[in-house]
Amino acid sequence: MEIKKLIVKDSFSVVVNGTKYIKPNDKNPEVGYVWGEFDTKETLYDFLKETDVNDEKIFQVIQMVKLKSNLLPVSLSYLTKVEKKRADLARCLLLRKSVLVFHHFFEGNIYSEREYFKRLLRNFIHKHQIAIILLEDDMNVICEMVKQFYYMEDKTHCKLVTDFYDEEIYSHVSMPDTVELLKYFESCGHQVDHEITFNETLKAIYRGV
Amino acid sequence: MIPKDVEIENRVILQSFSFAFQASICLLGESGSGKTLFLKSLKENKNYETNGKVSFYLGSSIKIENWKQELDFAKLEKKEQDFCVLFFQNKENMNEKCGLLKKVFEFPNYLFCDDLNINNSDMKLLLDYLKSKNILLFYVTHDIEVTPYFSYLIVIKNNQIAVEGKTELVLKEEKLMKLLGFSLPFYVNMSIQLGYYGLMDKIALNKEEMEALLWKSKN
Repeated sequence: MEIKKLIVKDSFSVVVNGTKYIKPNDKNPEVGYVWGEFDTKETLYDFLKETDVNDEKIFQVIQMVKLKSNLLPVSLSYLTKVEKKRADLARCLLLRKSVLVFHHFFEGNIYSEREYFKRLLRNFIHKHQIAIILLEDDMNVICEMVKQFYYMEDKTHCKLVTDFYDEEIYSHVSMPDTVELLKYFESCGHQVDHEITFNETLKAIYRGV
Repeated sequence: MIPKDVEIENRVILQSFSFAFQASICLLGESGSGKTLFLKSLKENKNYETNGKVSFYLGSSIKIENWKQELDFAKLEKKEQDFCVLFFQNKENMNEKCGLLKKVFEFPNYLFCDDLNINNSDMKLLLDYLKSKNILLFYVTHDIEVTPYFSYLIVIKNNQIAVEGKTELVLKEEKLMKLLGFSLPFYVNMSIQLGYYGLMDKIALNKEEMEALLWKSKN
């Protein structure tokens, strides 16, 4: 229900702290859920082959989502949390879903992988017109990805947040490092511009000092 | 000591390596590098040699409703009670925290622990407590932000150790770490970048240190 509302307003939205209220369901064929939770012991290959595509396409897609081909004969239950989410993403792409809902997708990825997937997701939006919804509570990820986001206050209410320095949103989620640092400098009596990304924060400190 | 490779379904997860466990150690690796399987293998196969008591915390699937009840709070010593109250002040990930403390209160000499979903201040609190009890922690993670809290860092890549050493020295190898796919911890990275601007000549590990270094150097 909330998902529809978000898609209409923004093709690249973030919901903070509301992940548990949005459950995957397969009723809408357009929506693909990158959840990474399976109750099956089938192999990765069988999981992807169910989409009725040829092996060449499967190899292409697993390469795109950074899964190693030697995982294809491995049971899904042996995959790590991150690999399971990537398997879900591969399947969604093979099924040509037009809306992708990611659940804590960046968790567990190292820096280079995060950067890669940020680019990949942006490509989905701009080149392939796939709508992306990130369900995320890591504010550091959010700071680097969007200029505004939806904060899910409870099961039914979403609030559009444009000011990352709004104290109210940090009652349930941790403050991003950049905001915490600049707020601290401010509390010490130093004048530093409010920024959110790492690079902009760096420049703001340079100007402030 | 790890006498043999860690394998699963004929796939080598981590090539054999040994380490001296004399201080808390952080093992850093990307997803799928075999970190968790390494711990599971140690636990199940007991392929290590040690004189002390060893405990493992590999995550908890139990839903805990009352941490005080679960940890038998009333029977704990004053120091443990004080620590618990501080540790549970932040209500995030109560199940994990509670599962972990059950292992901690077994008071092992060595505690092997898989990635915890707790914030940095809770991590610092935990490490201070463990140090006071002479419990050495071997912590496995993908999150570079927690590494400055450990005195020794091992980084694995492609199933083997890529770099290891005192954490501060390893983290100063900015180019090498980026080559391995890791960004530096926020404050370390910020310190180095501000150093390029000529604003800092030391590494700050937190906001207080950074403020002091920035404005002190100006004055």
